Amino acid sequence: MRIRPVAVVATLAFIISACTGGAQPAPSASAAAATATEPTGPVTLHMFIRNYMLNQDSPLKTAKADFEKKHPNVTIDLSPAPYDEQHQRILLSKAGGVQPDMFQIDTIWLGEMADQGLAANLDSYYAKWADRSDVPDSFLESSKWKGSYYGLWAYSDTRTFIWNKDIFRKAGLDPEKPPATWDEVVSFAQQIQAKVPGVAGVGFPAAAQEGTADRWYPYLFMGGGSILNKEQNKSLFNSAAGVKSVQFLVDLVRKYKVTPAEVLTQDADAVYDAVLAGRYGMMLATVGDGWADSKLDGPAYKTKMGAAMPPLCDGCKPASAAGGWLFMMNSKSAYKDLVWEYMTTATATPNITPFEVKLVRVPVRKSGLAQAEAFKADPYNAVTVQAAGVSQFAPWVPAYYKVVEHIYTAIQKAVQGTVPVKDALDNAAAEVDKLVK
Amino acid sequence: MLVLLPYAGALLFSVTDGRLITIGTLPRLVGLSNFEKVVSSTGPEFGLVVAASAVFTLGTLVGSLGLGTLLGLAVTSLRPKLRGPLLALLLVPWIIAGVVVGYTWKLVYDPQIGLANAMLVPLGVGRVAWLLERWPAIAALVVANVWAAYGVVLLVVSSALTNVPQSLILAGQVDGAGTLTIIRRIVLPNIRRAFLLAALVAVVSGLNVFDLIFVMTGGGPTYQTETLALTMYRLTFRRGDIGEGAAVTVMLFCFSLALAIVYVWSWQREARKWR
Repeated sequence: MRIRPVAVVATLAFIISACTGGAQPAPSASAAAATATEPTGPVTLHMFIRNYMLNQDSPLKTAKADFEKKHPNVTIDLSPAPYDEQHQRILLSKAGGVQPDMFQIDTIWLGEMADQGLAANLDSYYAKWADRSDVPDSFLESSKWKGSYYGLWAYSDTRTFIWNKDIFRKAGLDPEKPPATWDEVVSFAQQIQAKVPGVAGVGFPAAAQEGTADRWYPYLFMGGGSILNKEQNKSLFNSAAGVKSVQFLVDLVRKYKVTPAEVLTQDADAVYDAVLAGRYGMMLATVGDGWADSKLDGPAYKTKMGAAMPPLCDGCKPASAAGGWLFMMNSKSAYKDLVWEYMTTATATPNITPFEVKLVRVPVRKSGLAQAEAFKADPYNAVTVQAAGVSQFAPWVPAYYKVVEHIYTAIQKAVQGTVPVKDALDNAAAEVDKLVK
Repeated sequence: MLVLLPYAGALLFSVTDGRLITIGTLPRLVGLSNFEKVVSSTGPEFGLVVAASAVFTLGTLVGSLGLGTLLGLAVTSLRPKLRGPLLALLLVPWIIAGVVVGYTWKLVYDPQIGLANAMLVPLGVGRVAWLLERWPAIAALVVANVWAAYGVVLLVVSSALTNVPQSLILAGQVDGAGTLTIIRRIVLPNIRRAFLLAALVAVVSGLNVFDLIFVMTGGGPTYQTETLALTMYRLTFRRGDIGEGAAVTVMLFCFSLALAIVYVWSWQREARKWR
């Protein structure tokens, strides 16, 4: 079991400075990728990717066009899939069927894919890669499993607090001033419920899904809590910080009644949609700043919605959680050099930036982070950048899927009021310890 | 062969330590330990899942048989010109994909904007959180599944009803029997065999339904609405324990097989009566 020293922390200073000035020359896509030998006959490279990657040209369609022009014998087959299906089909590809030459993975799958021999060891490619110095250390570290490189970061994302400004206006609150503390979250939510009938004060996901844990992590981290210890062989989420942060969720529902118990049936997308639709005044954490999912242009979104760092508890420090996606090369691919060239072409800063801007993703290259100008369309880019600087990743251990089930079930039990917070977390921690020891 | 192969595969996996992440390698035989793990599970307790499955299945059976039969009787009592279009209309829920039905009913049960509460609030009943507690949530799921499944009962029953000899009904009417008596004494006994088939289909559709529950509650909160079909999915695809998931599949198969045997036995008994 390996450490998940998480944190985009090392990037913090860099990200902030980079996005506020300090421009660096962006390596061109062509310069970033060494050219692989042209195959003598027709070749199709199969890429298992997430479905939303094809909603815009950048980065995969543009890279495909460039690549196929450069390699006339090669056809890139981009095969999209939703989240769960993507995970399953990569694992199942081991048993037969279409073998992807490259596949896109959530950061939490890295250990699992590497451990099972699905992913190719990329050490030799990283050693020769001209753009390696363009990747911040924290992302390089989180591309590794047991000391070797297995993934190539594509883009990252952070968690931020969001609120509906229209609801704030109706409640007599300053729409430009979000709550800065947990106490303010409660008082703002109470004011919303008192002044705007039919609107719940604040929402968070509490359904039986990974997102329930994911959106809670910033509140765990801000109190100094962690999910696992550094060795990743013991639970820490049942610490005082863990209990305090889950108790906050429970209190919102049961004590202050500013969050409806229906959150137990709502996943993160449902809560986000409810905030956008004006059924919730605020949401404790969402991916990015929410703009990408709103279908509104930047100015319209900024008028309607606000995004800020997650509000703090007493004695807490600013924190957020980060996730993201990497590309992996299949260990069985017969065209590794071509795959590496495509991966690096697709993730090269000029090629991927339009995608990152549109979907409010955080760049994983120093040259991308330096492109503050490109991200101007995103109304809350400064917030996501700030969040990236204090973010930690979820563990990327092979058992994470089982770990997270215990965590979100504990949160559910506590919110439901069937088990005291401390007991729920302790019971979950005991189960998780069996998985990660 | 095509029918048996998947079951044989599931049976084989159920006695191995097969996992999704080691799918390419040969799994080890572990005997019945997967069944033991499933039955002795504490998160959630197996009894909780079985109870949810049983209540959901029974509710689906009673609801879809009742609704399907009532509508079948109503439709066949209409003039033939009206019967076809109305039957087609009433079969629409049955042909809609379970996922779509699930999302539709999830909206119906939405505490804030749902149709269910919108109908109750004017009657002075407060907003109900339909999918939040175990039994109301299971009841809500049953209603949704009955809506989705009554069509097959309607189809079977209405086709059986058209075969009920009109002479028997006319004779009953001549003897002064009322509508209810005719239904109870003439119609229902005549469609008993079709009824058995409809019951079997309703039970199996209740026992094996996955998509509707997955969309509406995901088995939550805290596994309260998890049925065996969802347990199978969770173990196989969320946890990656193919062996344990296959064990649940085998259990479901055995339940369905037992029901089919009961059906065949009942059908043969009925057939003997008519010889």
